[in-house]
Amino acid sequence: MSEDRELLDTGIDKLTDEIEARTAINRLPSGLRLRQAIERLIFIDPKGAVDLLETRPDAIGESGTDLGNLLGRSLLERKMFREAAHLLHLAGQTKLITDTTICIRLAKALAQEQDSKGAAQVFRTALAIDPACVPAMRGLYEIAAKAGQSEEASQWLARLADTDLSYSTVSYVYRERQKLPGSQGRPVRIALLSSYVLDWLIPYLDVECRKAGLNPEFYLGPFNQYTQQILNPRSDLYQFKPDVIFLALGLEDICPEVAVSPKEDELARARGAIVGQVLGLVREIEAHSGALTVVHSFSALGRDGLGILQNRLANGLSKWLGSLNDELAGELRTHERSFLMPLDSVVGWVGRERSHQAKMWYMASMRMAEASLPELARYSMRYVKALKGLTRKCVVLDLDGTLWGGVVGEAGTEGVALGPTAPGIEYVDFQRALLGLTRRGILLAVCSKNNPEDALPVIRTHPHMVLREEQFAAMRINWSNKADNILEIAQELNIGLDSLVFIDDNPNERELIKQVLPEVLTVDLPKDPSLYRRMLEDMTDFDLLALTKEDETRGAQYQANAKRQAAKNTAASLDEYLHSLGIRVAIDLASREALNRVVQLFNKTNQFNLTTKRYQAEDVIRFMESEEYRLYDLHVTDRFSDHGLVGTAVIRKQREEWHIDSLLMSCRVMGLGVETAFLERICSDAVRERAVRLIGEYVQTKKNQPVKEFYAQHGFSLLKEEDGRQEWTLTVAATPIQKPSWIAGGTGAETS
Amino acid sequence: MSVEDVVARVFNLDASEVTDQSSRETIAGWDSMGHLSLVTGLEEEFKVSIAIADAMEMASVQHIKRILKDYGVAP
Repeated sequence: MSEDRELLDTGIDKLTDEIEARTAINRLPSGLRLRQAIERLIFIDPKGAVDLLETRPDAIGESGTDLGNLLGRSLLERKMFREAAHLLHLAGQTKLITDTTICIRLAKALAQEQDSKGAAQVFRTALAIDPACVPAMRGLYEIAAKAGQSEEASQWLARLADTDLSYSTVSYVYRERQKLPGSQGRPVRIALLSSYVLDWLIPYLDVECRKAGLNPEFYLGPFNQYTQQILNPRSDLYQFKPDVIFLALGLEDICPEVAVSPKEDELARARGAIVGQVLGLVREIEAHSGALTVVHSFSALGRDGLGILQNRLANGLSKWLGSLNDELAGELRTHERSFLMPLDSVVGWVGRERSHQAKMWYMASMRMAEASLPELARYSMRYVKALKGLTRKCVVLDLDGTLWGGVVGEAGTEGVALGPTAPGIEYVDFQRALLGLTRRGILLAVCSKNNPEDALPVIRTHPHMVLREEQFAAMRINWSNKADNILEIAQELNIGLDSLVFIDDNPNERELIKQVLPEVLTVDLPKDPSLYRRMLEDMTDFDLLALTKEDETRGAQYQANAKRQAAKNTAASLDEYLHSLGIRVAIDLASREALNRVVQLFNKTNQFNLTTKRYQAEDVIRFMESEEYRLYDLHVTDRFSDHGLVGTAVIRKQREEWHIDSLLMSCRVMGLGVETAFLERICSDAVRERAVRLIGEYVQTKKNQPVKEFYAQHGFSLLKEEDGRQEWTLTVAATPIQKPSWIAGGTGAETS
Repeated sequence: MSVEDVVARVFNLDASEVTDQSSRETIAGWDSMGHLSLVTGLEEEFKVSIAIADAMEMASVQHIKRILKDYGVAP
């Protein structure tokens, strides 16, 4: 005891022999003195301190992390990397180290000594301490990239972009991604034209595109030369062949006079001039390109110079801006390929103060400050995803903890949190937002581990339940595995897994679906239910370029499906069932009113699609107008519902041969035999117009297995086959196709 | 936080990698946008608003320290 005291009193730094100090300390009982002694030892003999910690874990005590961090730093300062690595290894078992900078320094030092394996291990330790440690991810990326493991490297880049949306990280990710070989994903070509500097948006768009599984290429118009680029048919813009053009014009750039409180008549003139100018540009783009054009709406940077009189006087600026954007929106409504992006509401989410910084504006013509770029990119993706057919079709919802608070099996129907006051109001609000989605044609389904006799009464009778049974296209309330249930839901609704979104408050269920069904978009639902609604509204996966009649009534369609299914179950035979449906088809040459729906079908039909060509509006219009082509559409009704326009086909006429360039049908009407009626009509038209042969093409994709035998089943013979592409032929006069007996309508006599 | 710390945070480096001599030439992400992020980062950290003429002068850590002194900041 007296020896211990002496050791502390004189201080171990007076012990010149390190071994002696170590031995002395090792004799100390655990407790404060031992800790203090080790703290001193760290400075004179860090290696000895590491050894001591290893043999005397009792020295670590409650505030062991201070000791560990202190020792780690001390080792690094002395460049004792091997000892530091050993300490980290020990720390892995004892949680000695909380400071990730120690790991980062050590890992970088190891990497410099060419020990990339050791460095990677230490970077991973940093990530275990802090899963959002950006330098560790960068380090791991660099190691993978250097070793030529491009797949792993790109995964680290993706994780970086998920973790940190600062420009520094996002631009790093963007730069590095260009260096990796073999970019994956469906291509998309995006052009940005602007009257101000918008370069910084590109890395953010790139990140968002990759998240959506797209492989983007960008074109950035030269600063403020949007007019020349748009007017010149041979400009770089059109050479680039964009799929989407974003046109971002600053009000102060195209109409500087609004900055100085103009008079009423000046404002009226300016509005006319701006609308005219934008429409002129849009028409030019439409004439030279098939791109989707997204015009940013106009917004002001400062406050209205008239102060509180702005809404009283005729020349108030905010009012005028509203009328300008309204007029523009009204004009663009008739342009199928051109949209007005509500810029003010986009930056409003970020906050006007954060989304525009005067200094950046003056210094760099940067109208949109860094803080606004993530949201601007995300909102822009709504157009891109809708164009590329990435719209999700159905939200699969859990019940307990997701649509209401609490567990109904324990709390009972009246006991769940759901109602006009908190807690409970947040779930009502979330349900309202979900109901809003159904108005856009998005389906809802339930997948819950529950007893149906517990859960169904809430859905049917709870006074504050917003979503009732008729809002759900499919329900799985049982105790089986959710992955199996979701597969069944996809089958029942006849949509692909990549059309589904899964929302569940239970992280274990989410993890299961992420792993077993990666095509399903599993949402990381926030823990706090008051964020549910916002989370849903922020999702960019539910946007459509046009709302068709079919979208608005889709929920009812699936309800009818359930009734149809019931009829099938009671029918004695399939034949009897099909006859009982009273199916009627109408097949026409597609008219202009059908344009939106036909384009939608081209871009979202995956299963019953023989060639999967993704035609856009301009192509479809060409098919409608050209003598060379015939564009058919197919309408189907039965006694349960009107399915609407559910199929389309493109025929290219080449003398006596009719080439079926595309033939596709919504999966909603698969299995009814209407495709045969469709083909029969095409065949009889071909006979009437003295064609000799139909040539059918089948291009294999991951999804269109269901139609692999389509031509064989209809009597076509195989002409040739290569690389998953088949060509089939049918001599039309010799092999007439028989329309199924249970289908009425669709004969060629009705139209010419 | 020191100027080095801010530079390290903005460009995702370790503070030990940042010296007085660190500049637009030596740090990879210090392009024009990076510069704007850095100026914003310095303003937030040291609670100052830096005039554009000064912000444009800030081409190295040494320059930044000298200019910040004029704003009464002694990092």
